[in-house]
Amino acid sequence: MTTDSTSADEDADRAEISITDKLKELRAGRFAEDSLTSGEIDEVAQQLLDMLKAEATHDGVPS
Amino acid sequence: MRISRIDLSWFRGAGDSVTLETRDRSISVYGDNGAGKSCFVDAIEYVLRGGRVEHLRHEYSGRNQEKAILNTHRPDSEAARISITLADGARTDVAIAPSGASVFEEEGDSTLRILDCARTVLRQDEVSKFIHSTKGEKYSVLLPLLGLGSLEVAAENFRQLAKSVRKQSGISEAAVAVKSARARFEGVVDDAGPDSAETAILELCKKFVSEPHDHSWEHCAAEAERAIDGRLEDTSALERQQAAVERLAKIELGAAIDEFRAVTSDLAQVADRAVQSRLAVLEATRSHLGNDDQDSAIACPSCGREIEKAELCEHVRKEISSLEEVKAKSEMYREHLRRVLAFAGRVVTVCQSDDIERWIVGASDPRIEPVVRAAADFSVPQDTLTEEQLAELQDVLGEAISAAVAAAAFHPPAATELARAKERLSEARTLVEAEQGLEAVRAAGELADQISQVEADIREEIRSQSTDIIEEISGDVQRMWSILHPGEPIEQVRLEVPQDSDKAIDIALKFHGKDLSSPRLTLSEGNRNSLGLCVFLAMAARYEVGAAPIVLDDVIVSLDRGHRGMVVDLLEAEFSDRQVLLFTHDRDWHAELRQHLDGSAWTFRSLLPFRTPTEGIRWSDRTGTLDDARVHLESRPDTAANEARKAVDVELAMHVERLGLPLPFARGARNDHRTAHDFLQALVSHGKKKFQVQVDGSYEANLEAIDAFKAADKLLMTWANRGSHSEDVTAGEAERLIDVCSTALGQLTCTSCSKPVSFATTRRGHHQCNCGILRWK
Repeated sequence: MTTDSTSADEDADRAEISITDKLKELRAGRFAEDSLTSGEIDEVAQQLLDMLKAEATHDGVPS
Repeated sequence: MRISRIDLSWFRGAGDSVTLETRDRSISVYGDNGAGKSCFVDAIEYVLRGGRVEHLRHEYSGRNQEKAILNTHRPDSEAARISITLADGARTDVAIAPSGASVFEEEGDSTLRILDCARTVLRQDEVSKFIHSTKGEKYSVLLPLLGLGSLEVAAENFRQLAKSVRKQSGISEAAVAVKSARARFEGVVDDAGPDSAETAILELCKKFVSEPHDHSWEHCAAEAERAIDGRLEDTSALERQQAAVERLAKIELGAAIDEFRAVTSDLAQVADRAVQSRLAVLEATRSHLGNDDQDSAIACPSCGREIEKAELCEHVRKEISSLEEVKAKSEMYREHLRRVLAFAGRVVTVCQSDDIERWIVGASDPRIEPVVRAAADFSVPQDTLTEEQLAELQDVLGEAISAAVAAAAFHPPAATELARAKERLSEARTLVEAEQGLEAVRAAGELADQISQVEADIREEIRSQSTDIIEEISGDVQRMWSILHPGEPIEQVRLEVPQDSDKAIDIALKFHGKDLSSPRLTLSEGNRNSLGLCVFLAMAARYEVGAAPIVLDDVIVSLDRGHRGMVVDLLEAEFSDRQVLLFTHDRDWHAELRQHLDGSAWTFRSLLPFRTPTEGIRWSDRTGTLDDARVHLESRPDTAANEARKAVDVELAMHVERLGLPLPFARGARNDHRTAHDFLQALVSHGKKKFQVQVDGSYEANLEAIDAFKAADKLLMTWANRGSHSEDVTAGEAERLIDVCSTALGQLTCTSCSKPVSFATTRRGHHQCNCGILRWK
């Protein structure tokens, strides 16, 4: 599949914003409410790593 | 917000039913130790914390604290209950099941449950614990009170998240894998060969593939592998057999085992050293933390010399670094283990191939076949490797490799070249993959750094906000401290956020003109606790959720009499508009509060001594000073007489002190142990001229009072002393004594305004009650 450079950049921006937004969302919400258990923290970490992989795929780098 | 009443049933020490009624005023509750005062405080805390009491959280209290919350002698059919009613009629009802599970029900518009317990309830042990706590612990206690608890929770969650991302992405394992793959790659290329694995793959591709379709390394590696395998297929059976033997001979199992042994031994040494050292430092740290004065020197765990706290911190830092070394060695150990197992697996696979089978069947040396078959049948352990397994693996597989090395020495160059090319291609591919793995987790490392930056930003926000709030609160602490300690050379008492560390708040002050970084350096136990009380009250003063009540449980225990009096002044000056619920076992203080606090704003109640869990908490119906003595009249009249004397000692001491009566000199400590006799003598001798009562608009000598003082003195000197020494006072005598003492004490309080003659001071320096009927010139 080929994409033009503009939409590829947009995708990359979207992925980047997504992780930053996710961190902002955590800070304002769940993370400020209560201390999370290690299991809950690991789950959030895994979500972020998955988002990072998705971002790498957008950039054309295999995860 | 004001608490109107607290009803308890089978909660803690409460029996079937007990009620604390405040009449919407502040209240002072007096009771001996164990009388049940704290049950009311526990009930408030239980409601505020949604079903738990902090000091009951221990291993014996049960999952829901049911073993401590419920009265031990509660009938099976009865549930424990708490009901707290507010002045506006709103009510919180709690039913607690035998399992400790609780059901809360609310009625009305307002609720006590919006209050923060830490800013509402203060107990003596909490004051003491707070002052003795470290900077970090003070931070943990104060931050929620400063309203910054959620920021701290977020910062800590982000710290854990960064740690988890680093762990889950396996960044350190990836680095070790690259290092190991590079070493293997460098082992199969010549010194003059390519230094990049990708270049090596491209060169092999160029050599064996005439025109690659794609120049990416993955494609080149795949095409080169196919080409080399094709060439090997095209070679004769003998050449294929020789190539297989070459492959077997090239497996560096021996070197891998040697390295593995070296790493294992290294790890054992480092781990042993680190564990010993860590235990010593942790032991010293624990003993240091258990020390009352944390700023004092302690014995160094390694050299035994005295070291300061900062040096201990350096030790702890080194131990952390030492444990990180152990961690790195452990990772290396696991990598080498994987390598040995991979090589062993490769030996077994090659030995099972048809080419090797042809070699061993046709070999001229009969020793080769059993050796290689043993290797082909060898079962390689999966994840772990004991020393015995390693020795067996080395023996069995090593012999097969040695046989292959010996045979390969006689092979023609073509087969050897193909086998080497295949080996080089394999190691180059492994290295490129490992490098890509590291590259992938590098992004995860950057993500972890980004998360750590979020944590750092939050900590900066906490520092900035807490510094501002603490500055404001420090003003309140300082003002309250000066009310409690007027004219004392301990000034500028304040909270501080240390510049050099996160997660720390401390108390600083000026002691006789010198700046001190901690009250623990110079302040007495009493002064420290007084300071803790100021900090709590400053926090409570800023907490304006519905002008919440303030609950103080025995907080003046370590204060001397003078400073206890100042607490009354502090409460009047700073909290006259708030409801205060005071619980004390100090009868003198309770009596003093009763004399000097505004009777229209305060209620005073006493608890009877606790008898049985079934009877539970019991209120004393009497309100007079001598009522505690009357309790003993029937059963122990001598005790009643003695209690009466003690009560009069306390009560008169306060009157005489406030009236400023000079007392005759007494030698040594006797000055501090004067009794009712000394005070009554002074009241009689000075009172004849000074104690006056207003009759028909003019003052005349209060002769009735003088007579009452004389009568009380006479009986106290005879019957009360007899009661405390020979224990043969009759009930009638004790009752007479109590009545006479009661009359004498009553002379000092106005029957019209209910205030003592020492209540106010006129411009002329006379003392008088509130309405002026009684006067002391």
